[in-house]
Amino acid sequence: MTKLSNVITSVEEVIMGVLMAILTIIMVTAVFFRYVLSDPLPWATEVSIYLFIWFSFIGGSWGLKYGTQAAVTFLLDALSENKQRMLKIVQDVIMLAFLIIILVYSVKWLMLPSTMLQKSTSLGMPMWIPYSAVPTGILFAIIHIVARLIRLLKNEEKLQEKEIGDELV
Amino acid sequence: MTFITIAVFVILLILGIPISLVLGITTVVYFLINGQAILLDSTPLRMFSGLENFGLLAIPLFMLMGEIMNEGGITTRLVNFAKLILGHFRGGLAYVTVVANMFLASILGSANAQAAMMSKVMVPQMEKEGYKREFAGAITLASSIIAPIIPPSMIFIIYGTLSSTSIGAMFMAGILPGILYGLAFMGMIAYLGYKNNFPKSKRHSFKEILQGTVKTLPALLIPLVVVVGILRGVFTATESAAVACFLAIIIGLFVYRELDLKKFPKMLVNTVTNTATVTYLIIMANIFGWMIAFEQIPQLMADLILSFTESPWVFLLLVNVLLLIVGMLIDGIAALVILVPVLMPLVHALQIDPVHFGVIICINLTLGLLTPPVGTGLFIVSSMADIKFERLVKAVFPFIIVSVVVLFIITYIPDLVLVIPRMLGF
Amino acid sequence: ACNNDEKTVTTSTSAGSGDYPEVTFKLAHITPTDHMWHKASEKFKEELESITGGKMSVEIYPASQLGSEADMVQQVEAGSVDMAMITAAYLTSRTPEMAAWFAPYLFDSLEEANKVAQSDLGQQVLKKVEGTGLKGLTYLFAGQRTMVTKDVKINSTDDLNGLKLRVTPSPALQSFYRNAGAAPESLSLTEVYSALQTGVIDGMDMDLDATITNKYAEIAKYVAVTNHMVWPSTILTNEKKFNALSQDAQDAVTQAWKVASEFAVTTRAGQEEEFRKELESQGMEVYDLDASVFEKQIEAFDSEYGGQSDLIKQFIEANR
Ligand code: NA
Ligand code: NA
Repeated sequence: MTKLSNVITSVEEVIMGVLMAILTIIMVTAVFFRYVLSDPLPWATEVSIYLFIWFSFIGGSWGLKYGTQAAVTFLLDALSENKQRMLKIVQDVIMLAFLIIILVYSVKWLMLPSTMLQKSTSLGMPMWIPYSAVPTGILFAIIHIVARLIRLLKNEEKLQEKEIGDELV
Repeated sequence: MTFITIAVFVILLILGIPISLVLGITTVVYFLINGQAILLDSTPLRMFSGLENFGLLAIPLFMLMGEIMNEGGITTRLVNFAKLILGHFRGGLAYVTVVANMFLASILGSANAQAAMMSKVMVPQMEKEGYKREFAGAITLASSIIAPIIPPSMIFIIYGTLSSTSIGAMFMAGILPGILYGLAFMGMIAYLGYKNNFPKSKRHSFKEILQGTVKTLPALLIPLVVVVGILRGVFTATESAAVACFLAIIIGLFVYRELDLKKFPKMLVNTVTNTATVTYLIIMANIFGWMIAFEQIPQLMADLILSFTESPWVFLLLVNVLLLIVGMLIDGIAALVILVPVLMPLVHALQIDPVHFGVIICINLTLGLLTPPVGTGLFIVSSMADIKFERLVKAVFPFIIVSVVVLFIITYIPDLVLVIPRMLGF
Repeated sequence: ACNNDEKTVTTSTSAGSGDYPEVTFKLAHITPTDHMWHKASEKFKEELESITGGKMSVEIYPASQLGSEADMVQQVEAGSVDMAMITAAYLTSRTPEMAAWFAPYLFDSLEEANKVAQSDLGQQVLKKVEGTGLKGLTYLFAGQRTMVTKDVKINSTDDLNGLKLRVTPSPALQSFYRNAGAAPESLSLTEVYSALQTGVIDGMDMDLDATITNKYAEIAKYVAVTNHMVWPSTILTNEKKFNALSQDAQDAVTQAWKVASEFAVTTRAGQEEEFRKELESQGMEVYDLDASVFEKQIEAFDSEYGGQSDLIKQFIEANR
C-alpha cells in the first residue's frame, strides 16, 4: 500500500507541475491574444479555472499525505510517543470516514445522467472532465491515508513526518 | 443540534485534524444528525464550484512569482535595497516589511497572495538578521492585510458589486485607512523594538546606496511593468500575476543569471502544494458556509441585531463584534457574500454611508485572515515560513489588537474614510 | 395547459379553502435583493401565501447563498432546494434549445417576449429541461440587452470591428458579436468594472439595470439601447416533488408564478424610460440602434442555430 501511495505521489507531482505550467502559459497567451492581436481567447478564463481546480484537489491530497495542512497540534505535542501513535490512528480513521463518504457521493454525482449532460459554458467541454478532479483527489487522499494507517497499525510509521516547510524556505 | 455540531467542531480541532477537514467533517456530521443526508448529494459539486472564481487564480500565480523571485536572486536585491535605506533604524527590517507591503498593496488586491509572497521573501531575511521567526512571520502577515485596503482590492470590488456601491469610491476610500494601518504597525514595531532591542545594521554611504539602486533597477522593473500594464489596460490585476512571473523568469535568467532551469519542476510543484493548503480550506469553508446559509443563520443574526438597536453607532459596534467572530470561523469573501445582502437593508434603513460601511466590513473580514481558529493568512504564513500555528497566533496577537483599534477609529471617524472619495466627487 | 387552469383557480377557490399542504418551499436565485428577480420572488411568496391562506409559503435564498447556478440545478434535482431561478444563458450548456431565446432582435418588447414564453412554442422549449428530474414552471424576464461602451460610439458594425466586449460566456451570445466583427471576451463579472476603467475591454453586453447598479456610468460614455436580446430565466422545480403535490397546490404554485412573472415584466417595462433618464443624468449618451444595422448578423444567427434544431427553427420563424 505504501508503494502504491508513493507511486501516486509521483503521479500527483507530475500533474501539479504540468497543470501549473500550462495555467501560467495560458494566461500570458490570453493577454497576448487580446492586447497584441486584438483577438481574445474567450475560453481562456474557463480553462484556467478548471486547471486551478484540478491541481487544488490533487495538491490537497498531497498535502494530506505530508501533513502540510494547518492543524491545531498542542494535544499531539503533549503526548508520549505511544499515545501519539494512538491519536494519529484516531485522526486517520476519522478523516478516512469523511473522505470515503465524499468519494461515494462524488462518484454517485458524476454518474448522474444530469451531470453527464452538462457542458462547459465557453468551450462546450463535457463537464465530467473538470468535475473528475473531486473524486480523483479524494481517492488519492484515501490511498495515502490508508497506507499511513497500515504503517501506524504495524508500528512502522516514523512519528515525525518530514517537515515540508524546510525545503520551501 | 447546534450544540452537538459545535462540540464536534471543537473536539475535531483539539484532536489535531487539519482545520480544512474539520470544517468538512463538521458539515457532514451536521447533515447526518439533522436527517439532511440529501444535502450530501450536492456536497461534491459545492466543493468544486467553491473554487470557480477567477480572482482566486492570483493565489498560485503570485506564489509562483514569489518562488521565481527567490530563486532568481530578485528578492535578495529588493530587500537589500530596502535595507540600504531603512536598515539603520532599530527594527529596520521590520519597517522594511511594512513599507514594502504598502508598496506591493498598490499592485496586489489580495492579502493571501501578498502574505504568500512576502513570507517567502521577508521571513528568511529577517531570521538571518536575528529576528525570531514567528515575529518575522507575524509582522509579514499583519502587514499583508494592507493589500486589500490600499487599491486595487478584490474584496472591495466584490462588496461594490454585491451592494451596488461605486467601486471607484470604494477604492478611493481605502487609501487613508491603508496608510493608517501602515503607520499603526510601524508604531507597534517601534514599541516592540525598543522593548526587545531589535537588531539594526550600519548606516550606508551615498555611494553604496547609489550602487545598490542600480543593481536593483531590473528588479524594480517588475512592479513598474505591472502597474503600467494594469493602468494602460494591457491586462487585468489577476492576469498581471502571470505576466509578472514571465518577467521574473527573464530577469532571473538573463539579467541576474541566478535562475536554474532545472529547478523549475520543483518550483511548480512547491507552488501548487502551497496553493492547495489555502484552496483546500476554501473548498471546505465553502460547504461549511453553505450549511450555515441553509440554516439561515445570517438572517437570524440580522433580525437579532435590529431587535437590539436602531442607533447606527450601536449597530456598527454590533456588526463589528459580530463580524470579528464570523471572521474567526469563515473565509472573509464567503462571509461577505452571505452577509452583504442581509445587512444592506439595515444599512440603508439606518442611513449609514454604504461606502463607509463597505470599508468597515471589508477590513473587519480581512482581519479574519489573522484570527484563529480559521485564518487563511495564518495558514499561509505558518505553512510557507514553517512556523508552528500556535506560535504564529501568539506572535500576531499584538498586531490583531492594533488592527481592531484602527478598525474602531475608522468606524467612528467616518471622515477618515470618506474625505478622499468626496474630494474626487464620488 | 396552465392557461386553462388559471381561470378555475382564481374563480373557484377563495383564499386558503383548497386542498393545500402546510409547506415552506426553499427558493434560491443568484441576484442581489434589489434586483427585479428578487422582487419577483417576493411577489411569488406573497401571492402563494394569499392564495393558500398562508398554508404554503416560501423561504428565499438570494445572491447565490446556496451556490452557483450549477449548484442550484443540482440541489433541485436532489430535492434539497424546491425551486431555483436559473438563467436561460446558463441552461444553454445543458439544454441547447434554450439558445432560441438569444436570437437577436426577435422581440419588439418584453411584453411580446412574455407572450411567447406563455405560448405553445415557449412552453415546448421550457419542457426541454425535463428528463433529469427537473420541471420548468415558468419564465421570468429581466431587462433586454444593450451595448455599453467606454469611448467608441457604436452606430454601425464598422464601429464594432475589433472592439473588445465583455459578453456572457455562452456560444449563442458570443456568436452574434463575433459575426458583427467584435472580439468577445469572457471576463468574470467582478473584474468588468476595473477592466473597463483601464481599457482591458472597450465595452460590454449588459442590461440597463446592471449598468446603473454597477455604476458603469462612472467610466463608460455610451449606451446603445439596442434591446437586441431578451434575458429570460426559468423557474425550475423537482418534477417528482411537484407531481406529488395535490392538484390545488400545483395550481396555486403555477398561478402565483404567473402573477410574479407578469409583475416582473410590467414593472421592468415601466422602468425603461426612467432607467434611460437615470443614465443620462449620470452623464452617459443614451441612444437607439435598431435591427437594420445588424441584418446580416440576424440572418447568420438564424441559419446557424435554426440548423441545429427544428424547435429553434420553428421558434425563430414563428416570431421573426
Ligand atoms: Na491593493
Ligand atoms: Na479568522
